[in-house]
Amino acid sequence: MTTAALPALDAFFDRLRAGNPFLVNRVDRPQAVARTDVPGINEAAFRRVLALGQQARAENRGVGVVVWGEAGVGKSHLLGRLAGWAAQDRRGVHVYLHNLQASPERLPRTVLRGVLHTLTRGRAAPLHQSTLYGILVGALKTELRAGAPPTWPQVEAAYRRLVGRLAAEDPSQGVLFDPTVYDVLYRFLREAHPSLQGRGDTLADLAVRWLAGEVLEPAEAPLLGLPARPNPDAPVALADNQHVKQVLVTLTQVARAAGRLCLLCFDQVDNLDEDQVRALTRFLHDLLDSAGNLLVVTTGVQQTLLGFRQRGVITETSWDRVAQFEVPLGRLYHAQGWELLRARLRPFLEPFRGVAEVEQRLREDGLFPLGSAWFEQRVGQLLDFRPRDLIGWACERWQRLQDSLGAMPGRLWLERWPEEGEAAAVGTLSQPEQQVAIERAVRRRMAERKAHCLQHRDLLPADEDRLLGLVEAALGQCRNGRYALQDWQRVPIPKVGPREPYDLLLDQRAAPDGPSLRFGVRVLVADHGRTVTNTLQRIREASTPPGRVLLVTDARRPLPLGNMGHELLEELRGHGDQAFRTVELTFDQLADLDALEEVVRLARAGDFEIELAPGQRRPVTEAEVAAAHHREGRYLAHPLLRELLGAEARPALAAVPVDSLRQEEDTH
Amino acid sequence: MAHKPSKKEAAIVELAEGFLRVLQTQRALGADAYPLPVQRLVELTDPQAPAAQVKKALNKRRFVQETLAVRAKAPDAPIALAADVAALAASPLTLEFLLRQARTAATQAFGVADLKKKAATKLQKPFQEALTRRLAENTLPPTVGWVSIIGRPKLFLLSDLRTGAAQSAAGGPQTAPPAAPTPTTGQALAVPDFATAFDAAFDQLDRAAGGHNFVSLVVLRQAVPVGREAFDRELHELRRAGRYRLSAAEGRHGISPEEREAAVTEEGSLLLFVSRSRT
Repeated sequence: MTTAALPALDAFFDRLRAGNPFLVNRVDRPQAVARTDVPGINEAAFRRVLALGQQARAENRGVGVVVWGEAGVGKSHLLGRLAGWAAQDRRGVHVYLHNLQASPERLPRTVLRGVLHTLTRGRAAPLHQSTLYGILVGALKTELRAGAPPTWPQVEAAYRRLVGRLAAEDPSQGVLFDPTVYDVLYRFLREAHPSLQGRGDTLADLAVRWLAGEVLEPAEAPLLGLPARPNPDAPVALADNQHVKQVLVTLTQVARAAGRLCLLCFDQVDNLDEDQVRALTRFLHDLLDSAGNLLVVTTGVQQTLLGFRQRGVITETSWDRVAQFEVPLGRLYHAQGWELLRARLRPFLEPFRGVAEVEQRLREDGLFPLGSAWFEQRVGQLLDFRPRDLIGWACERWQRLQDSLGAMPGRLWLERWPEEGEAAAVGTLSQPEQQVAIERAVRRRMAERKAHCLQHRDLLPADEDRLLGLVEAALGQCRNGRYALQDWQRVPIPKVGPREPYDLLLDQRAAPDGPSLRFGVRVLVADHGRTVTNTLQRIREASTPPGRVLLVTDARRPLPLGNMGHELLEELRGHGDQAFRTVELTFDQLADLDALEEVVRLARAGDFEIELAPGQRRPVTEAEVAAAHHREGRYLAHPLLRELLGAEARPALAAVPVDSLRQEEDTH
Repeated sequence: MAHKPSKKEAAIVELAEGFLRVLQTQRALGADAYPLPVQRLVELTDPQAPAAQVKKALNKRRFVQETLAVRAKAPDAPIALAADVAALAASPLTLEFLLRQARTAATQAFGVADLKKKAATKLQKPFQEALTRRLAENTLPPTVGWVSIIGRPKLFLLSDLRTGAAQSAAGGPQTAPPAAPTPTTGQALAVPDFATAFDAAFDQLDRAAGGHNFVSLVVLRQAVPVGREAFDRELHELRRAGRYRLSAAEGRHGISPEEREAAVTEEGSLLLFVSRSRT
């Protein structure tokens, strides 16, 4: 050993003690896979999906493909690999949609909003760095001559030629061709242009909001050059799902002109409610029939998706389009498992390449520090295994290596390796221990999810449909007589005429013989004073007002109040805190709500597990997760849910045996 | 002075207008999308619309005047704009729909005149002409066949055709698995035949379930009746040879005792579904 190598070797020991490259065993974001990707795993499936995408682009048509397999076999990873392919040389536009929180009737708009959110990085400035801007420029280049930078009249003329060409090639033969959408896209391009140095971003942002299906103030419509409407005082928005589809079709065609394939990826569709699945697949069916240059990829557990099909949740005709091509993902074989571990180890070991001791161990054993002997002993008897299981086993092995390294000097540890870190025989978990394991796993996953959201704030956009969806999902888990909440219902949005003042109506009864209190809940995330004023007016003028009204808002988008809005709000507040309250959720509180639901959602998809014994895992059910939330008082700990649930009507069931939890699950 | 329509009435009128708009849109998309069944029209226009509202919108005078359905009040009846009577008459959907309407358990083949009677009056003549033309040009849709009986063509759905062979897997019942192809039910299969019997049973069961390469061990164990130990050992060999793979039971709707019993337990997971390896 050289003296110079010592500090580097110490740094290696420090890194091994402090970090574990196998802690993460799921893909939360498609961009996260590049460093640990193993091309040989699921390669045929990846190539198949790509070939279908290239076919969709070449033939300018919509193609639906379902990627299915067990939880933890790499479905999300494959979507991540597609994202990498799309980003490389700008070959595609990849939109990853996951955990859609919206009522069935709002799903098409939620999809559109998600698409625009991705294309504009959540409308982040400067907008000329967005993908949307990039594809517009890419498309325009096909109509502009190379040479000196064009003038704006030349750009506009080129854009008109482009639109004319796209109209002629429109896959819907013009039926879904909407020149207004192209006009608004041009407005976006012009206002987001870097020469304006951000001065046009407000207008460009307005264009994005209209394209995303948001409601604009009447006064804003002329700024985008939108056509005159019969009622000039009415708010302006995309009219219906047909209009939503027209925007999506337009985006696919602009991307095509830019030489890029549109990939619309829906991950874990199997965790949606049946009504949502029904609405989503109908919409996608319709979109695939009309759009070109579009590959729609849906993923899920095969058993659940086929169950949807067999029960008629997904109609035969929709299935034939959305799942026109089926791509199964299977388990890993030994050699693939070996490569997967190596891929995870590589970035970990990279800083220590060249350290003599590390190099020597790596020459002797390609899986250092996990060890080939450990690998053979762990998977030698198995025919195949899930990637997630293998990563879990490696994670435990690493933890044992850390324990042993913590107990002795690093050099001694290295001399004794690989014997150090061998597992002692451990029995399987008893049922009370399983309950503890569930608690621990729920806490850990919630903390991970929250940390992830805090790091990637665009995961939780300020969006009233999404917020309402999260609240509804949580309330759905609390209809069990445990709380003062007796019942609740979603108030439907009428097709014609103004909407009702509330999104939800709830009934609370604090004591069995006590009076019932009705709550009206309105979730409001608005950009315009008029929207707020109209909402407050409707609350004030409700014909049968409930006993209490909660107005829920997002702290990131404070209510824009004009004079009238202020007056109305003060008037409502004047009725007293018991009659009217506003609850403004901070991002932190929103992330808490999302984390609560995240674990339930994973469990629903069979994608949340505990370890019974080393290497033996079992899925945790949705009811078990909800029961853990109830026991730990997590619903009541959230300020908004506490308002909605009221006091706990029966005492918390501390340390309920798992058997009784399962009975509870059966009866619900 | 005309009275202002109520909100309810306005919604019905709006829905009826929506139906007409969607019909026009579908027409432009071509023969794959138009004509279309009434229920698909409703789905495309407003899948959330209450049934009572849909019913009233379909009966709105303007809608009735501007459209033509193959048969009134049948949700699976094809529908088109009235101007497109010829396209509706010639549509394969129309022929298939009328055959479904006419068929009974006892009679499943019909002459042109029999079918014509099942159509709306306005459609009868153009339908007869279109069908006669299809027969002459041999351009019936692939789902329909015909035979000549006393010199007259009798048409039928191919799904109603019975042959001397075993019942078609695709048309067979989805719930009860078809009998195993080689062994006699209840008789233990000699193990040397296992791979052949397993292949055949898998093919048949998979086809019956829609061809998704995904068959439950519950039905496979029934279809290949060897003892539990031998079945598991032989299946293990097929997996080792890379011919089949197993995957876990993890659907969100739980697992039945029967499935739990049929599954193979490995590393704490219940492996219940078999897929044929394609690589």
